[in-house]
Amino acid sequence: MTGLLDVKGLRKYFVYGSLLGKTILRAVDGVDFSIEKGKTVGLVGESGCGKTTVARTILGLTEPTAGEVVFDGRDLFSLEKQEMMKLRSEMQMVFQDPYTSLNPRLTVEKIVSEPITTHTKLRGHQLRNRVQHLLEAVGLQGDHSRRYPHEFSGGQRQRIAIARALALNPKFLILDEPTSSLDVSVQAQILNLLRELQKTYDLTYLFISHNLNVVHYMSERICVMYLGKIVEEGPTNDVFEDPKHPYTQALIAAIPIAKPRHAKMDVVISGDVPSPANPPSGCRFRTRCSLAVELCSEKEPALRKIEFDRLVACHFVES
Amino acid sequence: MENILDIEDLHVHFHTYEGTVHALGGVNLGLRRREMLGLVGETGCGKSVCALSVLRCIPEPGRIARGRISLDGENLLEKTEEEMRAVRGSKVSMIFQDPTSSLNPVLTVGEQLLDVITTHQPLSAKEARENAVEILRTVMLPDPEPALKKYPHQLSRGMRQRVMIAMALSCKPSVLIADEPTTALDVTVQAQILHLIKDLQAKTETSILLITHDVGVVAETCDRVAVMYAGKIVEIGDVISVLERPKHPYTVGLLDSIPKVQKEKPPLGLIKGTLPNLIDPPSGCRFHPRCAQVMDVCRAKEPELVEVGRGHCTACFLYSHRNSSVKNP
Amino acid sequence: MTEPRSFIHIHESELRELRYTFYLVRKSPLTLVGLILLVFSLFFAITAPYVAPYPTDIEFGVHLERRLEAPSLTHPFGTDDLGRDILSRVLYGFRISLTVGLVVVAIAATIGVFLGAMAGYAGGVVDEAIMRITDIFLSVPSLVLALAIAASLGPSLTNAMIAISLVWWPWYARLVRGQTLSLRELDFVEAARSIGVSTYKILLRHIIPNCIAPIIVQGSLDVGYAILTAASLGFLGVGAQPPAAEWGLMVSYGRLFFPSWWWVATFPGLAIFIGVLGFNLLGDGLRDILDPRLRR
Repeated sequence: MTGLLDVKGLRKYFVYGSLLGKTILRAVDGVDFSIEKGKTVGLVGESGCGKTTVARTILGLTEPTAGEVVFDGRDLFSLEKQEMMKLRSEMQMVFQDPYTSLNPRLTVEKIVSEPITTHTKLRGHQLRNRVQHLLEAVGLQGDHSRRYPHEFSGGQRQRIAIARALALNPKFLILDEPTSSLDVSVQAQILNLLRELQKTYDLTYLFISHNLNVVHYMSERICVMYLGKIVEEGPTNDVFEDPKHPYTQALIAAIPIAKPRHAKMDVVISGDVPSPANPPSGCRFRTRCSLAVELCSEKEPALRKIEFDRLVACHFVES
Repeated sequence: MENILDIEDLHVHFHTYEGTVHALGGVNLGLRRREMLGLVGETGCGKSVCALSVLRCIPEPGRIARGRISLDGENLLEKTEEEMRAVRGSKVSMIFQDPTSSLNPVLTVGEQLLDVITTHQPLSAKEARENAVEILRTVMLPDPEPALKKYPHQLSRGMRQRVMIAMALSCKPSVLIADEPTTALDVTVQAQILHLIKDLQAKTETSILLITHDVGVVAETCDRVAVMYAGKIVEIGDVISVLERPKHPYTVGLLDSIPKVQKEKPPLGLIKGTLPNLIDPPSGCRFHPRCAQVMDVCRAKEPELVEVGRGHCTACFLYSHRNSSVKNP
Repeated sequence: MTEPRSFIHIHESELRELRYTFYLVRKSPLTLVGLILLVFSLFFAITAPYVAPYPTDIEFGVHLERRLEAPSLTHPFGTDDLGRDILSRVLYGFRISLTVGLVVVAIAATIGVFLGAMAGYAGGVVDEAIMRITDIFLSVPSLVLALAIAASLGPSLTNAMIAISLVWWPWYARLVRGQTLSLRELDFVEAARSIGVSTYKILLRHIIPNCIAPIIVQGSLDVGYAILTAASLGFLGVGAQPPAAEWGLMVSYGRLFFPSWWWVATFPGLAIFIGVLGFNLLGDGLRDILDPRLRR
């Protein structure tokens, strides 16, 4: 199981509190997955499941509590600062909100060239050319580089963010809810763009989203997260057609489909997502699961292979 | 009267530094009794402005330039501010997108709920409290009595939205306007809230105008749907009819651009061009610069809503040779 | 292939912003008044020695034959007890006070911005250390503290300026720290970190430029207060020393001749009022103009 990116046993705990009482927020509690070169893996889950923390840890924005991230054969957390810097140019991120991911005080040119000026010695005329080229690659006009972010629409800003992410010819991009703030028609443009770019530049994507339609469209493999753990993993089409974990089933059932005749209003799940600071014992999903029995509160189900290429963490799913 | 709410030829302008924004360019919309009507559109199409116009709460520098908004026969635009205050919250209620910023963080749930109840109904403190608990029970808030003493931040987003719905329905309004009520919620919570809204609608016979950008939500909950673009209604009709047989090129483009869960994943349909600048809206049909089937007449005249199926109307010259224009869709 | 760009092309965005800013200024009459008073003050600050009717009177002139003359055509503000033309001295006072105001704010803001940004961004021990120091400064009334520092350094205008700067930087530090705490969480700062930009560059390029608005507002208001504080120190004898044409000093001095020879204290007092008012109005107006939520 070696791909361009391998995540093994990743854990990230946040510790709050004082001498009188500490709370441990287990944002990511043992996550394993792999992404093959040139492919897209989708990471889905609702708020508090830890998907953004996974992204930030992979990128090195936050230190993990435990676990390994192996990128292109190199263990990220054991690298020297110099090597880490070099690696940064090979993996980049596109953030969710195009209104806060661009510094309002810098021109588009400065924003897109920042990675280049930080890592290379390219300057002046050549730098400007490179920026223009990048802007054109994402569907913007090169001579708009002297403008400020607020002069662009949400979709255009997201393109600028993508151009910035591509500035150093990365191999791997983490896309954290890249279209969640955009209108449907603009989303379509950005998703099409991302797919084209993936083909043109042979990029590998980790696509994070809570929108299942979008994740299904973009990714070949999907990992479903709940409260810091992966509960199901497998090829996207298979998982959607035949979800095994009760949470995945509920999630898919809850997606509003734009087909009025197929609409079903039966609600498969009740209650709210428990707090990651105080997750239920045993299987974390048991408080909302219709199948829950005593075993579920005593023993945490491991993520097991039940079929070729399908992994599920549930006591009721047999291989 | 068939329609509980009638919006006729509504024009709303915003007078800004750069010029006058023609946010709504003549909107005609009718909400029937006991129905759930979905208002779908993208950012800037004017759906929220439409909703706020009904309540006459349009923020500065907006003004209602022309039109008529009738609630049960009465023209709301002719009422005084005092009269409108009696309407807001009791005859017409609204719930908003973000339950976090819609509730006052320094007042308890009880205080805010009782505030709404006592403003419109002359009840004793005891009666009002019982009323509040009952309403919270109706919106399926777990443990309603202790919830009254809680502050908004102590509840989850789903629960806050239920509180909002409770506040909106407490005075049994005839019309409830829900502006993106589930956009900020997780998918599973969204399903619960939509189910709740649909349930409550059946029980209370309230007419609901559901504003959203998510076509899926409309498909699952609404009886009819209206599609808005650049301040105008471009298509309206029965939800099955509009979503399965869309007529207006914008509706077609919109539905094409939604990723569908299916095996083949072709590139998503695109609508070329960008949203028009409403300070200087396009002549004639506001969609014409982006329409693949544009004709000369589209540039010259504004299309009116014409019937293209039973109860299904669209504002497009491609279909104008059919029936004459419809006034109250 | 990049085309040669014209001047206009490059600065189109900036020009648009500027034009919008001027529109907002025009819309607010009080800001306009503030701006006019500011221009007025700047004008005299620069030209005082050249437009003053009696330039020699500014510092060392002594003309006992014309002492304590009431305002007249030859001496519109009258003369003081050494026979010096008060109008000339008041005009020169603009130069002193404005210099004091601007220099003090510049120094205090510079120190405060850097320390505040560092505290907010670094957090932890650095933050604690800097904030406790600011707490100490902020717990003593600033005028009293400035008075103490100025007195211990020795009475002079320069020392008064140093004293006020030392006492005022904590306000800016607090302000910037608060801003930094919220900016730090924004995506574009995260993006910069993920790119590998150094902390120093993040502060300089991403954090501080986005804190500028409240600093400009606070700064404009503070120039007025700096003038007032310098005048107060002068009044109390630890600021400018005679025979400097500093307003505070003049008012202090003029007290002795109140009320019979009212003009000796009144005109310098009015000048203080105008100087401070101008900056206050400007600061208030700028706060509204620069508030990004109110723009557009």
